[in-house]
Amino acid sequence: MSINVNFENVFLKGHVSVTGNKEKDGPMCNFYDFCFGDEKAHQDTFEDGESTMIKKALVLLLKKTKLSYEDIGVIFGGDLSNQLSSSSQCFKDIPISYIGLYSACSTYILALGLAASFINAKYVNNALCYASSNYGVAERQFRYPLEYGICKKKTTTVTVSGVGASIVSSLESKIKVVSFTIGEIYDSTYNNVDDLGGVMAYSAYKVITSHLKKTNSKIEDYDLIVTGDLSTKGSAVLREMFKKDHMNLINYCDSGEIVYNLEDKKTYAGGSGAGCIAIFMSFIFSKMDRGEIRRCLLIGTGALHSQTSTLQKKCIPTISHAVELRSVI
Amino acid sequence: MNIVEYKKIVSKNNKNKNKIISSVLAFLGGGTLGIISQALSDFGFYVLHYSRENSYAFSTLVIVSIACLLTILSFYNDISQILSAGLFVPTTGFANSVLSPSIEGRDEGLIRGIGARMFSLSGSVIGIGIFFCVFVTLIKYFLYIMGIISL
Repeated sequence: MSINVNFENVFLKGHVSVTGNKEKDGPMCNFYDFCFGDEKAHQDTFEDGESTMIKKALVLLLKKTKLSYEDIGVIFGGDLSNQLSSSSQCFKDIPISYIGLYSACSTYILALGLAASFINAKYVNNALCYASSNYGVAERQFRYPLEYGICKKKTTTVTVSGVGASIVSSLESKIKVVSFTIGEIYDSTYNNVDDLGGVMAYSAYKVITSHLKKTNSKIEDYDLIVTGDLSTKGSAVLREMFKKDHMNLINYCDSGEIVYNLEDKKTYAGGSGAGCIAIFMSFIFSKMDRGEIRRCLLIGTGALHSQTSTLQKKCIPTISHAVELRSVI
Repeated sequence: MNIVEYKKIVSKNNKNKNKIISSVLAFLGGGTLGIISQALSDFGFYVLHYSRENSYAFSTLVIVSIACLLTILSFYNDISQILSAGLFVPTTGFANSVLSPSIEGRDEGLIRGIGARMFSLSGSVIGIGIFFCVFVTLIKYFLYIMGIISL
């Protein structure tokens, strides 16, 4: 049974998105704070590029929220590299307590929920949560070398290069973090690594229904429901699953579907990765800050497989977490 | 909603590439590559006056070099998405599968990066290829000593 935590006086103070060049051409480009010219962020390796992007996001976020290192109590977050090495390389010079998280592509939502829990318990006044992914780092870790000419399926997704970071605070601001549902790990019995959107749709469905039940709310109560990276295939499956339950998934979008221009054939079924929903948060933050979106449900979806488990023909376990935000203007 | 219903919805939403179009494109791509290789081999034989064996080696060398060049310039991946097996099955696919992981290993150094990763994808083709060569040769040898075939 998934647990649901409700918060009082936890607010989202600021959000920053830093991306690579491919995301700059997408429909959401105006909402990003900084775009690098390439995935390596002018560094020698993809790993260094990812670290640079995280650092850039941190610097921009502190500037935007007028905070310093001393004001931040703890950092929650992670990336997709082995042992979170890109994050560790970045935070080695930063004197703030750090909790590294790995929950595949749902890392941002987990980090946001845990940061909110810390604020709610009054352990700290400000917490930073972030998630990062990089095309070069993730593709070669989970898939094939970048230049390998294997024929890709239509349902394949492309890892987003980007970092999204937010400050969660106890000081009142316009966006309130209301509730957090911690998901369970499911085996959807559909094990297709070329169609992770379809695989993760089941856990997204489970966490949404569980959140609605726990908070006694209906789909119509939300202005926007956002899933992490289900892509075109996964979001179509999710819509149909709710339709079967006689619930119409209105005001729903998937950040993986929106992050790239889908007319570009090279992006296949859309974006994926921990950075996908994290950079899409820029859009949600600006809309909620102006009161255009009043109530929003964010669902991070993650596939917890590795290349070894795939080769050993194990199932693909999936997890989803949900966080509810409300505009308090 | 249970898992059985979910799996039905997933399989209903499966979008696959049109197999007939993919096959035709692969056939045309592979065929064109074959014609180019034959032309190169004939060029080596008639114009450059190589022996027949050397002219085959010459055409392979040129085709592999072009595949490597396209891989380095990031064009190979784009072309192979269209021609699929037409580029993957011939020796161009092998060249790409050797070169692409070694490009990835560049940051980890010459020995443990480029050298170690070079055959990470194509190593199985070489290893299992040798195994089956030995296997087929043994069968042929036994057939020969039994007098069924002559060498």
